[in-house]
Amino acid sequence: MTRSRTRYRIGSGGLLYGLVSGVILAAAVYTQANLLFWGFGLMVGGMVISLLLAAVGLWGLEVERSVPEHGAVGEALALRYRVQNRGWLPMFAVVLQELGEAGADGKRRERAGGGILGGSPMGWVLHVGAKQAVQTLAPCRPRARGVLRLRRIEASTSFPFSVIYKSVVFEQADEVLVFPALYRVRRKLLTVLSPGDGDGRQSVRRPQGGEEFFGLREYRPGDSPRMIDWKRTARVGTRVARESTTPRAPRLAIVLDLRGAPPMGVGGRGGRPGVTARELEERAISLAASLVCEAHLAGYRTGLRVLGFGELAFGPRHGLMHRTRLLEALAGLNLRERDAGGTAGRAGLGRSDLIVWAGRGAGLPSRAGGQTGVAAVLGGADFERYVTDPTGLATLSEADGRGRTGSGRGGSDRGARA
Amino acid sequence: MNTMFLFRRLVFALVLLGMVASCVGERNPGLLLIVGAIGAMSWYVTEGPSGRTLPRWMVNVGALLAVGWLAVDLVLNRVYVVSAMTHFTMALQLLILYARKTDREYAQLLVLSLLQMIGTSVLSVSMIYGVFLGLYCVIALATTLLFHLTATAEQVHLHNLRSARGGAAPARPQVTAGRGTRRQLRVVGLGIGLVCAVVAAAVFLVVPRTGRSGLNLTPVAGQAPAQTGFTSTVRLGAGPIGTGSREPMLNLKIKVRGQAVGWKELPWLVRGAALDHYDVQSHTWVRSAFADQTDKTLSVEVLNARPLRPEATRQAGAYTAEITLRDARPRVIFSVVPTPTRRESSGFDLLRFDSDVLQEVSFSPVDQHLRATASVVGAVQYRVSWVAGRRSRAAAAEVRGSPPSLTEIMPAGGDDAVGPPQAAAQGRAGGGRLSGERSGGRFGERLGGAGWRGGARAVNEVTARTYARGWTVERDRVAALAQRVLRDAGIERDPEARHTADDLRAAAALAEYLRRGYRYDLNNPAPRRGGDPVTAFLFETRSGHCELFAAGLIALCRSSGIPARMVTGFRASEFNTMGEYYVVRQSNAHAWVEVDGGPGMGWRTLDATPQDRVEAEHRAPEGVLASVRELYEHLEFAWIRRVVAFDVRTQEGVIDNVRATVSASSRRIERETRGVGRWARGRWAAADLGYAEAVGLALGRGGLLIAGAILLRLAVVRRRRMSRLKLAALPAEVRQGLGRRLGFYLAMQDLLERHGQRRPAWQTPSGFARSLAEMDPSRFGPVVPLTELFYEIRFGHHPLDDARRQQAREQLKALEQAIGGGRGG
Repeated sequence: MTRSRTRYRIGSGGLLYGLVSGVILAAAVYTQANLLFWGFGLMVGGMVISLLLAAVGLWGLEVERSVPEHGAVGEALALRYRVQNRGWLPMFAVVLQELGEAGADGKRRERAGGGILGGSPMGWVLHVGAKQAVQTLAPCRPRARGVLRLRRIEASTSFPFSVIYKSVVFEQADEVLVFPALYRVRRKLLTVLSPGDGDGRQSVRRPQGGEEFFGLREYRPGDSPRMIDWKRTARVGTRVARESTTPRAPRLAIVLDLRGAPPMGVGGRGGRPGVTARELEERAISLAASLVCEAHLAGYRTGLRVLGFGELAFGPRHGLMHRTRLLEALAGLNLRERDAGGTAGRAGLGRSDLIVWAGRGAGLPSRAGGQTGVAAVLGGADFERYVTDPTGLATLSEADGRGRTGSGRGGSDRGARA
Repeated sequence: MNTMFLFRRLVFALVLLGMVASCVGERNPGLLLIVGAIGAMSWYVTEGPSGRTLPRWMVNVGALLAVGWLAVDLVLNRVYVVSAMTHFTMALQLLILYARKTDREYAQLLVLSLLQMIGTSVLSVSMIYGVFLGLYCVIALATTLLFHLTATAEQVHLHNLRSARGGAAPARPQVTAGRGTRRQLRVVGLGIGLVCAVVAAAVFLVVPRTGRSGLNLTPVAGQAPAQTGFTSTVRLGAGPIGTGSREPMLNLKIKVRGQAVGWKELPWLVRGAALDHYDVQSHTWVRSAFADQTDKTLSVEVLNARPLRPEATRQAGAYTAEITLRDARPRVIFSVVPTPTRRESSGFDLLRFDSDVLQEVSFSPVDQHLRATASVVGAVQYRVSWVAGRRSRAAAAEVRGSPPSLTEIMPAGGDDAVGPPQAAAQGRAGGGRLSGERSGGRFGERLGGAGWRGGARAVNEVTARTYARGWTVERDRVAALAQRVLRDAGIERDPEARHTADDLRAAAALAEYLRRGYRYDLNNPAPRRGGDPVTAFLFETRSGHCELFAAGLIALCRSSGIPARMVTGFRASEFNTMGEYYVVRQSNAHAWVEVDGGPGMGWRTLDATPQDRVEAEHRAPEGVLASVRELYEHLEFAWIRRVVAFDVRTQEGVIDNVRATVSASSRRIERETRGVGRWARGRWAAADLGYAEAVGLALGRGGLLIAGAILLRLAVVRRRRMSRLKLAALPAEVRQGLGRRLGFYLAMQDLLERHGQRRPAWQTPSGFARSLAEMDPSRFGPVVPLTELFYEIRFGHHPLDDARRQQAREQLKALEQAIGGGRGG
């Protein structure tokens, strides 16, 4: 955190103050009423004290920003500030505001957050005493995914009469990765899309110590004595070991197809605002992110492959770190830098892959009917069919925490949906 | 600290105080009652448990009604524009008090209240209003500061709301404040108020005044008054009138040779308007058009450029009356004449008029009528000088220490003859002027040397010859009465003669006749329909108030051929010993007569009203309350003189005093500084130190300086240490011991800070230690035992014994090595 420069300016409050002072002076001169000369003197005194406080105000002020690592579109993101007054005078009504980068001409400024935020978040401190430090926050809600870059903090005050604004700019670079907007996926969607027992479990018929009986084999040194099937051993004369199946998390492979030109927008009839092609793509990304989160909550091993962005692919795994990696990948997609024609089409995808793209959805398998032989396609244009309520990272983390402390993964899923 | 609630309360108090102050300044108790009740009720209606506010449409309708009230005030009630605007702003404030209030409405309330106070400050001279104004300023400062805080919070919230357009609205920002917010805000507010007051005093003293007000506040001549009080016209026949209010109108300080004088026994007449024409139809005494035509505008600055006839003034002496007029809106400038006694009447010859507020006056040499040409807002001070008569000698005696006696004031001899010695003396001194010469005295001589005759306006000679002469209402009957009275007094006066040597004697005899034979009564009945009130007074009722006595005397004089005119003003008899000035109240209004004494005599003052009855009417109440009132009025007089009627002369006096004080102080400091320098040089020379002694002395002084600097540094370090360890709240003895024992923890903090690890204020020491240890156990591992040691000593009250000291030393050393090693790796 470095202190870059100090500025003074006269705001609208100063103009109003000057106007009122002028009115009193005019009335005093016009009427020659001595009490009004007193009144004008008081206004001049206010002006003098404003100048003095502006000169010595914000001396010894230090502002330090602390930001979370991640945020999500539409979710409250609190930028926290530590405001420390190392001076000898108390400070009142200090306003903190994020500033963007200065423009090429040195005067025009870009919007703070590079368009990810709707505006420049503001925080406010009523009072910081001498040698005191307080913490405050500036609430904001990111409007777009991506990297939210914060560069400058402006601390300003116009205490006591709003005549002169004094501002100090602090340089501090921070970044927050804003995930796509996250939604709760409809309850049955995951179970339809991926084989399992409905509670997110999938038994793999492979011998590795599990619960269900798989078969018998010859006892190998190192096997647990508990695995010996004593009846069979007594019957055949050599030690026979019993094998069980291995329970395994279900797998969900998401393919986000962002190749080529975006499809046409939809809607916009009957006075309703339409959805642009770019918004459809963002919906597709948001849908993929929501599926990742929902699959993580349900215990799925989730893989992701993004078509149109080279070899951006993640193998199926389960875990918070893995989920975060997937969300970071989705947050970091820059649609202007995609590779439109360099990737193979959907023909190379497996039957179990779930394709998410910006157009209409198709080929959803039914649970009763089993696999249809083609990959399921979820479309951004049918976004509302797949999702229910918006959610946030905090809610998901809370649900995930309940799942960890609960009796099982199935319980966590139900808890999250409750 | 609930700033919003506090702010709402302060705004309410401010608005209500402003309205009360305005009503007090306007002296309108009815309005005070109504506005106070409605305003006070608004708090319970809007801020009470139900918290209901007026809907917007009702507020708009109320605003329209307020505009109607403004129109009624201006057109029908003929209220001053400033007063009407004050009422209007008051009505708007009441409406807003009952409406739903956001920051915008609060700002409107503050501005409206300020405008209202500006308007009232123009009109009011009351000290109570001044007290209210001071209190208002204090509350306004607190309100403004809180408004700034709350408005800033609201502004931030609105900004965040705009930023979150389309999304969920962010919560209102929580109040983030350090320790002692309220106390520090009070201290800062006090400092701001003091600075503002000092600057305001400086601005008040320095800003130049023109004294020329652009407001026309001259009141419209109304109907006959229902109670006594000064008016520039006199309407008779209105029936009984009540005693006027005891509200002070002006303060009169009379000086002779710079010394204030005053007598309770002998009051003064404060001369206002001279009325020479009686309108028979309306029974009203007015100033004639002829007299109006003789008015000439004079610049006060030119008027006072040089005193006229200084040698004559020195010989005869001069009175100077300092008059502080509390309400100068009627534009009448009062002057002072001695009260006529039974044996003599005094002339009136204005010698000098001086004011720093008034720039121009109109003056008529015919009736010596002074009038301001422009409205003056609030109070005004001016000085009037005239040639002293006998009373100045008595005044001089009082100045010397002995109170005057009536024999000193009154002429010697017991006969009723009007005192020619004084008249002769005044004639020699130029104090009296012949009416036939139509000269305006010294003032008249300044009109260009030709008096009114050569003035700018042509004057009808015929009208001039009939000025203040003739009586038309039942002339024969009145003349017969006058002749009978004069015959009884042994005076023969031909009514057709223009002047006789006995005119003043004759007028005095007529006045004496009225005084003896007529009864002073405010409850005189109205005359019968179609009857003339003067005739009714003279022949029927034989009782009345001072205006009827004056009118009766004028009728008798004029019917006898003696020119006479009515003068209205005040009778100053209440002497404030505390401030040595006369207090003149509205109830002291009086009317008397001026009679033309003929060549060599001039116009002389006569009062036909029975003095004892007038004195009883004007007598100030006595007792404890009277003393309190006297004290209050003295304070108010000081307030008016020093603040409300602060003029250029006072301004120059104050600036000169400040300049003289600063100059004297600087000279004294310079002198003393030189003295100290001389003393030091003398000591050095007297000591006759050698080189070694001088070096030793210099080293000693340097050592003292260094020791002082070290002590200062230690104090600063100690204070900083206490602050870092958050020990400031502990008792001094505990604090000092802990400060010494916990030095190792500060050393650890310094070490960590040097390597970029600073503990945030929100994190506890143990949390900080844990986070560091989790981050890099190999480097920051020793932080945990050091922090545990810190807790043992700080909160467990364990001593820092040898074992702990050794442990702290080792851990610190380990930490230093670990951090250094980490950095190197």
